[in-house]
This record gives sequence, structure tokens and C-alpha cells, in this order.
Amino acid sequence: MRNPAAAGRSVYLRPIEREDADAFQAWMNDQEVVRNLLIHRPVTREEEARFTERATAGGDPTEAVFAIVRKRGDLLIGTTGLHAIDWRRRMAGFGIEIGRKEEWGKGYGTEATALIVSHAFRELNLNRVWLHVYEFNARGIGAYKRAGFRVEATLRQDCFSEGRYWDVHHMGVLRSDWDRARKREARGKK
Amino acid sequence: MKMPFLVGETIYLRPLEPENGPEVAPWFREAEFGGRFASGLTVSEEAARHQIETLTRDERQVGLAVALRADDRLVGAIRLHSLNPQRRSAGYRLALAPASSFRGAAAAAREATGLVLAYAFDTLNLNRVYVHLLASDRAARSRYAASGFTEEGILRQEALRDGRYEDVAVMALLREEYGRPARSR
Repeated sequence: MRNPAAAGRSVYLRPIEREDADAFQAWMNDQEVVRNLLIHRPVTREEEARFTERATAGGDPTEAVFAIVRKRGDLLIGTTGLHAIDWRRRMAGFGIEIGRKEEWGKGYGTEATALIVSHAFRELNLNRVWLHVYEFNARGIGAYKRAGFRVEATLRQDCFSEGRYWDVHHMGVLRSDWDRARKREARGKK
Repeated sequence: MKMPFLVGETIYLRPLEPENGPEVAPWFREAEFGGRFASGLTVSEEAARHQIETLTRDERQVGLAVALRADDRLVGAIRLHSLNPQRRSAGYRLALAPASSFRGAAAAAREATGLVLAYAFDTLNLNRVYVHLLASDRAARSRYAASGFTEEGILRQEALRDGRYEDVAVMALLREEYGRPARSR
């Protein structure tokens, strides 16, 4: 592992580095990947370089973005992070993408989500993490539920994709939910 | 394929990069008949790169490169321009490399246009896509008609080519017409 910020069973999170930009650019132009994201324009090398430069420099207190790396082979497979961190209300928005499609369906997204939620509560001392997920993203919804998120609201026709409107689920997880789940887990192990 | 964004049968569209500027500038000049994009005059390579950089940062434009799937060769460039968020309309400009430089230019143009239209209506949620063509360019006019576009009129002496004014045909495709099986698309 190189410079891990948090590690799970199969994947770990590390800070973004400049040389990640080429892989990111390919993913951000891949329609199968971006259909679950907010991005809908072609992403040039320059734009991706600006993103990685910002992420690499750090210094923005409202962002905590990481690369997701598969431990086996030390393979970069995606990115995840907390955005719009509000330090007064102690909450943040969550985002994730597994860009390397061959690695879909292996539970890595679920694992990375759990790592970020844990990071948000234990390291950053936040109280709430929220996210938006499109109704057609069943894989994402499953991963978020397993990490403790629940649907708090459904924003009707908040997404336009593939020629029609779709609903968007607003999901959230609270520090208290997460603490209870940790306690249940600990009891289960005994 | 290098950095595919929208993928067709024989061509694919990828982000238009500033480094493509010097190569595509003359294609755009030809396709825009002396005009709308920047000055329409021959500019330095640096200025051409800067034009593409400006384009890609502009929320009201989308720039794309057309590449051959067979060998990744750049054979065209595309601008969706004048994107109007209220009216949900946009202009479309396809600038191909000179037809002599690659085979199947007409098929490539048709395919690129199909990909862009799907993107314009199904992803950008536009209502109207229009194109300006030289009225004398019968081949292009029938190609766009085959893609579902309707001729809306002639702008008299709108273009300047080789020191002479030329008429420009306006063609447009509306969302309600898009995907209708009636036309030969």
C-alpha cells in the first residue's frame, strides 16, 4: 500500500496524485461510468489535470477526496470523497465512482463507502453524511444501504438521462446510526 | 480507442483537446465559411490551441473530436454552440478533414451527427438543434435531410467565401421530430 489514509479488507484509500489524471479522464468520458454521476460533458485532459491538481494540493477544507486502490496489484479502481463539508453543521456530501468497469460487482464500492463513512465520523468528527443517487443505480443504492445510509427523501424527476426524467434518492447516515451499528457488530463478534 | 466519449460503428467522439487546435482550425474555417468561430482568419498555432481551450471551458459550447475506430486518426471536429438554456436550443457544426484525406467521409459525418443528436436530446435535454450550411452544398443538405433535419429557409449573402457572398441554408431538427421512424435515418 502506498500512503494509505484508510484500509479495508480488499481496498484502501489514498490521497490523489497527479499521475492519476489519465485514468480519471478515461473514466469521466465513459458513458457507462458517468451515467451514475453529475458529469455529462466531455472532459478534456486539461480539465482533469485541474481537478487532480486541486485534489493533490489539498488546502480546501470543504473537500476530502481519495483514490480507491485495490490491494491486490495495487490497482487504481476509482475515486471517492466528501464534498461540501460544512464544519459548523458537521455534515458532508458523499460521492463515489468505480471507474474500472472490470472491477464492478465485487463489493469494492461497498467497502470504500464504509471506509469513507468511518473516516467522516472517526477522523473528521462529522455528524451526518448525505448523498444523491439516481433511481436506476441499484448497485449504488445497495452499497449505500449496506454502509448504513437510508433513503430520507425522493426528489421527483431531479435527473435527466437517456431522454427522460428520473427520480433521485436523497440518502443520509447519522453518527448515531453508525455508532449503534458498530455496537451491534461488536456484540455479534462476542 | 483513445478516450472515447460517444462510440459509433466506424467512428467515435472524444474530447476536443487544445493540442488539436492547429489541426482542426482550417477544418472549422471551411465548415463555418469564413466565419463564426473566432475571427475566421488564419491564426497562429498558439491562438488555435487557445481557441479550443476557450471552447472547452465555455458552458454554452461542447467541443468534440471525431476519430476513426480503425486507427484512432482524427478526421473531424464538432462544436455544439450557442447553447441556450432557456430555449433549450443549440447550433451544430461538423468540420471534417478534407474528404480526400480519408475514406467514408459521408458515412462518418452521418454517424457523428447521429451520436451528437442523441447526446443533445437525450443527455443535454435540448429541444432544437440547428445547422447552417452553404446553400450551394447540395450533398450536405441532403445528408442532413436524411438525418431528419428540415429546411427552414435561406439566409441571403450570409457567408463570405473567396471574396464573394453566398447564401446559407438553415436546417433544424426538433425534439418532437427526433427518433420518428418516418424519416430515413
